[in-house]
Parts: sequence; structure tokens; C-alpha cells
Amino acid sequence: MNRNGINISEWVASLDAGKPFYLAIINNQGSLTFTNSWFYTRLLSTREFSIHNSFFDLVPQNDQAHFKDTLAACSLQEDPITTNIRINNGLCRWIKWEVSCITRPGQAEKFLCLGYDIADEGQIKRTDEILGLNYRTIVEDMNVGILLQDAEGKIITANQKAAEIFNTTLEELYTGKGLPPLCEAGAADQSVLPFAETPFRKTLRTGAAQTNVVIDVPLPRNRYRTLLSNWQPLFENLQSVPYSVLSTFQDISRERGFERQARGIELQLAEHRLKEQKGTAEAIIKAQEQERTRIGHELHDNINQILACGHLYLDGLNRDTANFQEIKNKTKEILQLAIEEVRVLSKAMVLPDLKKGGLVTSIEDLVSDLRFGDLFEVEFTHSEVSDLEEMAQTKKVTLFRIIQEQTKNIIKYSKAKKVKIALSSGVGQIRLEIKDDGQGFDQENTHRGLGLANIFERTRLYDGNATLSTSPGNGCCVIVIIPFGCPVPVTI
Amino acid sequence: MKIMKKENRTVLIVDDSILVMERMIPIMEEIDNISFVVHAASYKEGLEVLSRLIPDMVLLDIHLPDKSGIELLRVIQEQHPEIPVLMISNNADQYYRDICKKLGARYFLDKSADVDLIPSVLSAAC
Repeated sequence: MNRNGINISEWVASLDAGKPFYLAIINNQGSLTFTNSWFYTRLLSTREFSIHNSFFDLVPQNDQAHFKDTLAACSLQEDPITTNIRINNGLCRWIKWEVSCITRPGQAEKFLCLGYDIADEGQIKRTDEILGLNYRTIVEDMNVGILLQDAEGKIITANQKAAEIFNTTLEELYTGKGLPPLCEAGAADQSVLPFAETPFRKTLRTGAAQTNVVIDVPLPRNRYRTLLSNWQPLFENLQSVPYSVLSTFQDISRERGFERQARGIELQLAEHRLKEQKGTAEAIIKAQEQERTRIGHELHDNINQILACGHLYLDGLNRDTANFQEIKNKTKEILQLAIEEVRVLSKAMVLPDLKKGGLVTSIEDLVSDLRFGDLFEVEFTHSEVSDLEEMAQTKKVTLFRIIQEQTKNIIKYSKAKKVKIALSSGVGQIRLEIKDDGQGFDQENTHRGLGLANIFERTRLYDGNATLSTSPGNGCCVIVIIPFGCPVPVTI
Repeated sequence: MKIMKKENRTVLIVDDSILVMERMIPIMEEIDNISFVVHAASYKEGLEVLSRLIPDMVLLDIHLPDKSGIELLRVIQEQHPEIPVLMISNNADQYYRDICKKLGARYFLDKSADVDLIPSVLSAAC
């Protein structure tokens, strides 16, 4: 009959001997066309239902979407699908269903539903008896607040825990003073929820359970209690509008407090990070501006002066004058000087071509320039070149700039006789040390200039660490440590 | 909710064999004016259904696990003589045919030989 044939006998054989089973054939609208007597007498011909009802009417509203999804999935596949669905036959019972599509070509979709009770009849009856007899005890002993309200919101039953949670008394709850106002959880102004928006009202309006709703309840002295609540609509017969609502409440103020605290710390951290990033960006912009000013000064005060001087010499250049050759040579010298100055300036400006020569070669070039100046002795040591050159290009440039920056500081302020530069690679990190034997300075009472600030900011960009040790008369030592695997920062 | 139309007929099948039920399902699905079928597997189940539903027709096997189908035929005829009953049995000898006819069964079919006739009998009877 279907793609697989109806294998009811095979399915029944797989059940425990004699276990009663439900059998129904439905179309995709849930209309029933065939049932066995167990289905008919236990589920369909009850006070609430008859053969005119659809199968979907038997399924509680909360489970209907799931069951319809199961049918849709069945029509797309050969094999039956097994699912647990609550069946509402006045008393809810869980039934395990195996659903298969039994559509024949050219006919409307039909589904064969075979099921059995997860808990057998005896267990269900016994549960109902015990629950009925012990309802009050069970409700009172539960460690959650429980309320049963009618459609007008009047409390039909409440337990002691509910009174405790709502900071009131059972008497007050029962005598119709009702619940305290419910507030939107975590709202800054703790505004009271409008009646239409309360979970109670929503449950009645939609007929759907409102689960895990977090609400605040005001307590004296402007304090609030945070509750986790669940609201279950209860229906009479097949009415589509609930006639009462059963709700449960748990005090989660403590947990919420921890959550808020954690969120506060996270916010603080995020703020701190933002501040740091802002500081880095500002430092970079400041450094760029300072560099531009320096280049401007260099061009104006130095190269411009040299060229002006050359201009003057050219003015005096006359073949008839006796010192023609001398002036010509001088002019040449001045032009050569200008070329040299431009070269020095551009070398400082342009990023070193580390790709070509590598970091070590670039530092060696810089060191030989420093030695040429003959201001102090320079010693450069480094570990295995291949280890150092494994570093990302951006990090190499950063280290090079730091060396440039610090040697410039040494030239300007230190009056050092000896400078040591050491570059080494350790476990997962690179270490750079620049040490001089100059006059040092008082860290606390000396303003840290842009040069040093640049060194610290550049290091921090790579999650590195820079330290400065100096005191008057004792030289200065800068140590920079940058991890190998740190993320490459976003260029600002 | 489905609205019951006049031509929508309900049928009760009382037969303890699941294989027969498997066979009957497609047959019932073929008959247009039958909209709802209940299957009972014993005399007891049959009675239970009949206490809640008055079908337009009953298909009844003679051999049931708890009591004879002939007993159930008697009850049906006592309580609802208007319901046509179609006996289906492997015991299709004249003796049973005569008893069932005497007790009011409208039709009698041999389960192993006359299954193909069920659709036309049902269409005529419903």
C-alpha cells in the first residue's frame, strides 16, 4: 500500500506480548479515517473528543507544531519516524509514536500512526490517585512558588513558598490582594510591566505557555527580587481560551547578582581595552605629527639653509673673478652636502627594506652609521640570525624603529661613551636590550618624551613589555620583550 | 474540526487477526462513502466500541479470542437491529451461514475466497 507496505504485524511483534497499542490513520489535516479500538476507546471517545475531531485536537497546543513537523518529515522519507507526543485525553499521557507515510500514487497524503503508552494504564491511574490525594502536600513541599489563578487573575491556590517569594502572606494572597506588581527584569528604572504585557496576561491571550520568564518583584527599601517564572495555560475541554493559569516561581536573585557582577567586570575590561586602544591610536597620531614637524624643521632649518647658502655662492660666481674656481668648488661642496642631508633624512623616513637585508643587517647598517658619527662606542650582539628572521615583518620594523628611537635619544641626551645593543630570541619571545653608560636621568622628575612613549606604545601593540631602568649618573637601559605568536595589530 | 456529512459512514471491524486488519485498511480506504473505520480485536473490544459508537455497518469474524463472533452478532441484533452486519469467516460452511442468517446477519463472506467482494458488498450496504 505504501512505499514500504503497512507492517503493523511486524511492529506489533516487536512490542511486549499483549501490550496494548494505538493505531490511527490520518491525513495531513489530522482527520482520522481509521483507528483501532484501543485508540478509539482510550483517546477518542472520551468526554472531550469524538470521531469528528482531528488528531491534532488531541495533541496539546505546545506539542502540535512538533507533531506537524514530524508528519512533514515523514512525507519526505521512506522510513518511519519515532516521536514522543503528549496526548490530551482529559489527562495528559505520553505516547511513543512511530509515524509513517502510507500515501499511494495519485492520492492525498495519509499517515499511519502506531503508538503505545510510555507509562502504562496502571501507572497513570496510580499517579492520578496519588497526586489527587497528596496534591496539597506535594505543592507545599516543592521548593518553588506555585500559583493557580483564574482568568481574572484571582488566586485559586498558592503555596507558602509563593507567599515568601512575593514578600507577602498566604492570607493576603488568598484574600484577593493579589500579587505585587511585576517589573521587567533588569530594567534600569525597574518599571512595572503594563498589565497586557505580564506573562499571566500573555499566557491567557496566546494560550501558549510562557517559559523561563525572568521578572523582578519590588521589595521594601527599593530592593528587588529576581524570579525565574513559568506560566502554563490550563484549558477546559476543547476551549481555545485558557480558563486558568498555573505558574511557578524560583528566586534567582543570587545567581542574577553574580551574573550582573560578572557583566560589570566584563564591561570594565572592555572599557579599559577601548581606552588602551584609543591611547595607542593617539600616541601613533602624535608620533606621526611629531615626525612631520621634525622633517619640516629639518627641511627648513638645515637643507633650506644649505641650499640658500649655495644660492648665495652661485650669485657670486663670475668667470672674471679671481676666486672663480674656489667658489665653484665651494658651491659643489654645498650641493653635495645638501644631497647628503637629503639622503640621511630620507633614510630615516623610509621604512627600512628589511626584506632584502633582514633585521640584523639593517641594525648593523645603523650601527655602522652610528660608529661613523664617532660619538660613542657601539656594540651589537644578536642570537642566531635565522631564528630572528622568522619573526613577522611588522615586528621586525617595530624593533628597528625602537632601536632608531632609543639611539636618537642617546645621541641627544645621554653623553654616553659606550652603547650596547643586544637582540636575542628566547622561548616564544624576542628580547631587545639597549644599554648606555651615559648620564641617565631621574625617571620620576623627568617628563617622558615622545621618543620613549613611542617605544612603549609600539611594544604594547604586540602584547609586548618594555621596561626602562635609569637613574642620574647610571646610564640607561631599555628592555623590550615581544612574544613571537602575538596577533598582528590592526593598522590605525 | 471535521463536519460529519450524511454520506460519511462509519464501519466497525471485529477480527483478531492483524494481517486481516492490514488487508482491510486499503480496502476501506478505497470506498468513498466510508469516512471512519474502527478495528476491534476481540468480543470485549467490540462491545466496548459499540457502547460508545453506533456504526453504520459491522464486519464480524466468527472466531474471536475471547468469545464467539456469533455471540456478538446476537448482542448487536438485540441492541441495534438496524445495523447491517457482514459476517466474514474461514468457517464458511452452510451450518454457520444458516445460524448467522437466522440471527440477522445481512451478509456472509468466506474470508479466504470472497475478500474481493468486500468493497462491493460494503458499498451496497452502507
